[in-house]
Parts: sequence; structure tokens; C-alpha cells
Amino acid sequence: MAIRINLDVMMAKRKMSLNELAEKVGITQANLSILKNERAKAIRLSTLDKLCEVLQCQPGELIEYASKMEDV
Amino acid sequence: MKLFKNSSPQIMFWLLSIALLSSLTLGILTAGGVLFSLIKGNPMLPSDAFPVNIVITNTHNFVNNTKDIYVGDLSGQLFFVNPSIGLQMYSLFYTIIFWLSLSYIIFLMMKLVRTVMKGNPFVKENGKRLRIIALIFIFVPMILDAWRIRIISSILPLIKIENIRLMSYSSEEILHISLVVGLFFIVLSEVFRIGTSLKEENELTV
Repeated sequence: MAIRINLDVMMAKRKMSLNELAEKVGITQANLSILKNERAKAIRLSTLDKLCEVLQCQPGELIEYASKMEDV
Repeated sequence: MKLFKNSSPQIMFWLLSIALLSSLTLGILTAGGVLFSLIKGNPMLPSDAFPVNIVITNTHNFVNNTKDIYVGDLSGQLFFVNPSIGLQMYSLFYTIIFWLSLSYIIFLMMKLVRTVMKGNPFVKENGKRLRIIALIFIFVPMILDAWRIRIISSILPLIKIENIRLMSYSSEEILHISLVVGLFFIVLSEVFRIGTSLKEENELTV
């Protein structure tokens, strides 16, 4: 998949641990870890909404499309 | 009723365990009996030549009873024919293949029911198990039936009588039923495959 999740970057910027973020967003640490490791197949808009709210960022800062041509 | 509904996988599991045990026991006993008769042998001398229109009335005996092969005429008189070694071997292999296949199907169903008991039936392994069950239902009766027809046609040289009309139990019904059951299990395995992928997608939705 060419979708990149920049969750760890945002977490580092806001100096937040995975545990803390999971608690604030209201999802399990396991699920957040799935997202962080780019194993997720889909993300709910409600989850994205909470993440942006907690991390004070735009969805585009969390999720980006890395085209295969760029890799080349 | 609620208690029964919640515990039905457990009941099914125990019923399947009993079925597996009895299937294995019957298989071993039947195969043992056939092997014993094969080793001991009990050749029957062919009767005197019989006039026209011999009808082999009961081919079920070819499968289950290697001692006696009945050749009957239209008046109802029966004569024994010496069974060939090939037929006895077929009987032994038929027994083993039949009971082994049945036991394996029950064993796979037990594993499937176990996943239901754990509350997680939609796993890849269940799709594979159902496909294996389907293949057994489709191919094993076909192979055994084709083999049986071959054996019956090999019986004819034993009977040195002209104008033989061969009639056998129709096993087409069994073949058709097993084909339909096999196709049903293929459809079910496909349902499980789709269910598994939907479940995985759901689990990986954050």
C-alpha cells in the first residue's frame, strides 16, 4: 500500500507516548499500534477526528500518499 | 432453551466425538473381518453350468461379503461363484478407504466445531477444512464406484455361461447425493473464506 502513516512523527512532535495517545483517543493500544505500523486496512473517520484533535494537526499531516514513482 | 442454544456447539462436539470413535471402531472391525476372510480364504466351487439369462442379483455382496458371490437365475435359484483375489482386495481397500474418509471428515468437523466453541469460527483453516471435506465427498465415491464397476466387469470371465445379463444395485443415487453434498461444502468453504476476509478487514479497521 502506498499510504504512509506519520503517527510516530506527530507523537514525537507533541511528546506523547503510545499509551497516552491511545487513552486520549479512546482506542486500544493494540489498535493504535496497528495504525502506527501501517498494518491497518481502514481507519474510521471518528478515529481520525479524535487523533487530529489530540495531536492538534491536519489529517494530511498524519496520512500521506507516497506514489510508487516517488520511490523511484 | 437458552441453555441448550448456548451449549449446542459443545453438544455437537461430543456427538462428533462419539461418531468418530464409532466410525474408527467399525472401520477397524470391518477391515479386520475382510482381512481375516482374505487371509483365511473360503473359495466356493463354481456350480454346474447354467443355461441362459443369468442375472447377478445382488452386487452388494461383492462389496460386503467376499465369501459369497451369488449368481441367480430368473427362477430364483442361486449358485456360488468363486470370488477372485482382486475382488477380495477391492473389498478390503473399499472398507479402509470408506471408513478412513468418514473418520477424517468427522475429525475435520470436530476441529471446526472447536473453533465455533472458542467463538472464532471465521479462520482460514476452517475454509481449508471445508474444501477438503468437499473434495472427499466428490472424489472418493467416484473412485470407489469406478473401481467397483471395473471389478464387476472382471467377474464376467468367472462365469463361463453365455447370455449373461448383468444387473447391479444402482449406486447412481449415492454418487449424485455425494456430489451435491460436496458442492454444498464447496459453497460453504467459499462463505467461510469471505467471512474470514471480512473479519480480518474489520479487525484491521482502527
